[in-house]
Amino acid sequence: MKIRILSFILFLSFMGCGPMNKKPEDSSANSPSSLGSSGLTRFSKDNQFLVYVESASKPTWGENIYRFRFKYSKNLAKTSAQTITVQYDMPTMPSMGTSEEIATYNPEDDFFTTTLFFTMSGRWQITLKLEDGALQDEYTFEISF
Amino acid sequence: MNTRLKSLFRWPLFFISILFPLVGHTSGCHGGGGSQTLVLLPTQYYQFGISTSYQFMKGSFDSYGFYNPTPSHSSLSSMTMALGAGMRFLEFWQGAFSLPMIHRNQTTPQKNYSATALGDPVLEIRHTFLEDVGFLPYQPELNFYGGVKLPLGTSVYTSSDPSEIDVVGDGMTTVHTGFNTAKLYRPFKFSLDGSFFYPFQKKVTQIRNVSLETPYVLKSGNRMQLIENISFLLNNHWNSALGIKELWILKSKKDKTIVEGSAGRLFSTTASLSYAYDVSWNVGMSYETAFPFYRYAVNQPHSHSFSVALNYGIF
Repeated sequence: MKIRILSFILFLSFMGCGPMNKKPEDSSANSPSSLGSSGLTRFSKDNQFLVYVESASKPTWGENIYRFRFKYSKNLAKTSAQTITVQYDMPTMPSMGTSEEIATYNPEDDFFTTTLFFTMSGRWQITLKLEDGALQDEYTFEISF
Repeated sequence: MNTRLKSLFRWPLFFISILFPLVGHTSGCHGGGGSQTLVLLPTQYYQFGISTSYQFMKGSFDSYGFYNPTPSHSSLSSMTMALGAGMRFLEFWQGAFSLPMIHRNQTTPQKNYSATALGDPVLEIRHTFLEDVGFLPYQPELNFYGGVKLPLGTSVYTSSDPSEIDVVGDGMTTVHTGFNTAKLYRPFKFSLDGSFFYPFQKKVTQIRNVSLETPYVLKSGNRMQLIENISFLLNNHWNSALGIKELWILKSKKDKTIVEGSAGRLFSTTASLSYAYDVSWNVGMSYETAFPFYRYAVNQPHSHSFSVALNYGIF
């Protein structure tokens, strides 16, 4: 009986040492590991807009300044009714919640700017909710540090 | 209870071998089980304790076990002072609670953040099913316990700080149950503690006090924990111990959909030393680290924890 109990505990301990999480097959899609100071231009999810993203520096703990701009993908035009809402979280840590910021438009350089606060290292997913008049779309990218 | 057993418990050595629960109160990211509250001796009616632990984060292991060191010019540490009390209300039944006060400090390349707040209190009831009696060499002490952690501390949902430095709680009620078994073969004492944690699901309607456009239901992963401990009684006053803790966190669910990559695991070792001044007063200290089990860490911080504790018991 004692040997059985001991064997069961040893079995559990052994099994508990294996792989925990399966890596997503397409984990590199839209996932620049680090934007650094260089920019990135991509189509939004439904190809409505062409989105440009750049950050002032490599991502780190604390405040990180991001700049965005987007235009219609078919004619590269834009209106003055644009808004960007930024949602960001750590996908593998749902208990940390999803934070939300509204990017501020600066007409002088024609960029939206927002400050994202990364509380720890790891993989962060950033989603831009894009609106221009009646058109809505979103663009998601990931950073890791 | 027979007189032989009572005389055994009057030994300070025996007392200090049971000191460790409060010493290890906050030494892990999730802590828990028998390590969350005070445990009374069989003849003890009341016990009061205070512990202080300091945790320094060196980095974190991601969902796949890869290590991300703390970025340069950054640091994160926390100091927790836990007040605890226990009371026996029947010969084999006892209750206890603990209340942590947590100070967190984070340094980022831009500035420093710090906050102090009350954490989540824990209530626990414990039943002694078997006693460790010397004349029965194969009968260990066996306790069963159950408790609840109440979400009274500031959580990510109620925090008002963008840096979340004031986040000291989970934000959800968690119940736990478990067992603790121990056997004394002087000068050694062997113990095993197993516990299961069940966080209740929570409807998340706000983050950082800001309402969400699309609320969701979050069910954090259940947790299982095992703690194996060997104590070595050095003399009538001093006791040393080595322990291993294994913590498994199952996957979370968001709107009833499993969140891939959310499982976690942390194996850690603990070294402890304690001193019993007399049968009532005890002081102890412990150190906890993930060494040498780094390769098993998943979705957990890499930290070093130091704790000191002071206990006073009334017989």
